[in-house]
Amino acid sequence: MVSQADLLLRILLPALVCVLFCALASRTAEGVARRLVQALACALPYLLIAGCVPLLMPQRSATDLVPLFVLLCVVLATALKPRGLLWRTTPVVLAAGFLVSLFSRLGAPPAWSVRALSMLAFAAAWAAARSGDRERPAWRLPLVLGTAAGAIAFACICGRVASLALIAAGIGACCGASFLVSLRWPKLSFGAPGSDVALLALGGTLACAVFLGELSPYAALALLAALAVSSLSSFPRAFGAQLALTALAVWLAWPADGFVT
Amino acid sequence: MKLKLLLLAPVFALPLAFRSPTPAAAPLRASASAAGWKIDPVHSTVLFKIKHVGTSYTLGRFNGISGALEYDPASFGSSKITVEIDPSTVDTNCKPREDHLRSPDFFSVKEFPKISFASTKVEGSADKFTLTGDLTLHGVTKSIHFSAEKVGESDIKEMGGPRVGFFAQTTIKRSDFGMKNMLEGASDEVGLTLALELTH
Repeated sequence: MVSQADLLLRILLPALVCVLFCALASRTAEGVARRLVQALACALPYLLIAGCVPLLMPQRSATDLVPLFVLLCVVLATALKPRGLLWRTTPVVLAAGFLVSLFSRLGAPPAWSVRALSMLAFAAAWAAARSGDRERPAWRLPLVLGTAAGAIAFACICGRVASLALIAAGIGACCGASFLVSLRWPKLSFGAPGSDVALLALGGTLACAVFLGELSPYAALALLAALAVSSLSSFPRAFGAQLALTALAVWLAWPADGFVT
Repeated sequence: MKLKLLLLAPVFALPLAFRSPTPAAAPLRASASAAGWKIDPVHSTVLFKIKHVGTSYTLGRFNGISGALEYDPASFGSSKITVEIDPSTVDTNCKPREDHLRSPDFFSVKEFPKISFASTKVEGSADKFTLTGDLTLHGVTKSIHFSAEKVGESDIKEMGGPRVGFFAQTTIKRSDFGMKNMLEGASDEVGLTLALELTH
């Protein structure tokens, strides 16, 4: 059940904040300051959607880990220059850090092979999705992320985790708004720092849906593959493959006994 | 004729042999020490009651219960009880709803596989008392108060010896325990009922 307040505060307002910060970033001088504002263009809406300020509240559940890592991602996306070695290894470091923290909180953690595969898949999809940033038009990454977020939201509903579905839908709304605006004004895209934050937030949401909820891990792998194929240089091929993998993920995630609650 | 009656007598007597022993309240044996009481999960129930869309109460139960009691009728105030509940055994007579209750939206059972209550204070007499203790739910521990009563006690050899029963009720706010999802559809206030039978 999504109330009108949820729709306003966790979907529309975050999308508006995202666009405003993208506009602010376009007017900021290139460098650390711009990267910070671009990262915040995704991070602040995410914190609004997640409904918490993680530094001010006691950490209670594993889903509260994602905002903490998102803030860490903001710092790294801001401080590290693109093309540097540290910048390139960020997905590996943050994906591993987040998943290790998540696994340590589970009553019965999965087997080591599952943990290793999860970290590898998460980091590989993230690294692939950001690999061709400079060559692609500004609207492509928001479109890829928005599509992935919509699919993750639907998969979370299939996995019976409405709270995570709402978070993914909120991120999707932000990416969708950024995509629409950047079609007309390419400078208003949130760029690499914003996409890094959105990728971590989406990956974290997906990991929570799998390891805390009932989402099929195969569906999650298909969704990560859908993110990874966005690195294909041809847009029709990349987007077509993404849609096909997304459809496969939804089919895999579909609950056998329907959606009755 | 007499022979037939003699032959049929065991047949009529058979159902009597399977009748439950008379549940007359027998005083506990003096040998029943304070320690060593355990919850009998077959005769104990943990219920919860929550308002659905402001319209009606939905009831559910947890089928996995365990726990122990330190109970001495002579010094009732010093009694202590611990109850452990496995939230993955939630039962609401609707499997999809139970799956949802196990998810991070509610109990998040993979992260918090145990709900526990440990009493800290007992005030009042056995007939009616207030049971104070720490409830750990969804990873958050808070002190709560139950209104409780001792229902009865018995010492029936055929049922394994001394037994004592308690009934306790309270209302908590689930948001106090970090369970804040879907407050519009399922109320914040949740009624909890413990109907416990303990064996020695």
